[in-house]
Amino acid sequence: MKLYLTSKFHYVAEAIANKLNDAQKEKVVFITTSFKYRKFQDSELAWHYHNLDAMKKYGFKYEFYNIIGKLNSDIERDLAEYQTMYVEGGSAFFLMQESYKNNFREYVKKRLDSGMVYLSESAGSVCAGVDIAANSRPGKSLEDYDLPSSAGFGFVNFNILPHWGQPDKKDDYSAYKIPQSYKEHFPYILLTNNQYVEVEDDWYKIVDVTQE
Amino acid sequence: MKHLFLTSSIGTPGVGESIRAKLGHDRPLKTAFITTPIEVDDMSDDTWYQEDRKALIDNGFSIFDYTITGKSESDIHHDLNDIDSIYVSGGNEFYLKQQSNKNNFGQFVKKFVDSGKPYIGTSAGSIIMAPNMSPCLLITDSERCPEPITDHSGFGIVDFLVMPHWGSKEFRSVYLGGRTEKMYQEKWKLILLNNNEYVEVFDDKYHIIDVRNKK
Repeated sequence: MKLYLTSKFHYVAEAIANKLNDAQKEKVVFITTSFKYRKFQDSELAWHYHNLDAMKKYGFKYEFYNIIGKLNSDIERDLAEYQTMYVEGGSAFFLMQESYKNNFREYVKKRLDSGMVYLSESAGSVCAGVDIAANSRPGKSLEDYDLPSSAGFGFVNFNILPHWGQPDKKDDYSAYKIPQSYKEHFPYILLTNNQYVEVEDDWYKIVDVTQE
Repeated sequence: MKHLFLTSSIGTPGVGESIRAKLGHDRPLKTAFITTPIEVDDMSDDTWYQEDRKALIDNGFSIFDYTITGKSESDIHHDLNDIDSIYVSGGNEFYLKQQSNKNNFGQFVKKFVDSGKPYIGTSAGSIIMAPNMSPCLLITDSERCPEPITDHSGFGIVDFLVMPHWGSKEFRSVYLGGRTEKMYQEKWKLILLNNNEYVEVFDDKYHIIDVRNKK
């Protein structure tokens, strides 16, 4: 099982691209669902366009896919050929809500076990963890969505708190994420925008592209 | 090959047992219990320390106390030349580093770890393995160290910093009272570790074990 969990994909895209083979870069399904939780103006999606630019620059060939309204059988059929799944940032709560409707989690887990690579940014990395509750803040919380629990996909046995150290996220951390995570429930990795977690089966490491 | 076990608290039920299962030793391992970090700590309530010692003894570690304070580099090499494993206690990691700077204890640990023998740390003993310990510095550390704290570097044997006792009642005021504020920088690789967890390091990869989970 191979995963690359990032805070900001375009910051670390080059390093990850260097670790993937051509086939893994040429067959990428780009899951857009996480940021479909509301309508965005184009000007609000600069971060997303930066990710797309990085994908192109470093040799990723992707096709968009939204799981909203899809049946599990649709997903099975539509995603069979892809060797890498990229899950974009947005709302972890919204992505989990939509995933419950079509057993997306089970599908992805099966594919990861058979060699597909999971690549993600922010909400996509949060969902890969055990539990998403610590990442709640107003408008992005359990109460805002129809979710039976705060469980994540559970592909890894830790939780990521993304964008650690980013100045404009500090208030969210002080007011919500730190108090919410200060429990003896799960391990947490505080992931900066320059870092990603490289996971291979049960083992992992944090890579900082500014220290490579 | 390096094999490390970085705990918040080896005395937490299940942690010592889990490490024993990982090592699979069938005879007691001669283990230097490095007591240096407690020399300047407030030990008026040493329950945690006694629990840590018991966890080691109960799990097949034949411990003997050893401080690096006042030792020369050659003393350390002589005294610890036949140990099977090394355990570094909780306490004051900055004081430990000050003492290490006088006798190259960090280099000794690095060579020991590179030889493939196991290293176990609790709290300060886990923090000291990081490249830098700055976010852990407390006012009380400075007050208790007999010399000014000018060196915030750790041994740098791993490239991340464990923040131990996350979620515990005892450390709530430390973390929520200013430590996380200091941590909020893009400089470090930070792992928040509660008392039921430890990081098992195998060469350059690692994973976090929660002893309450079966896996």
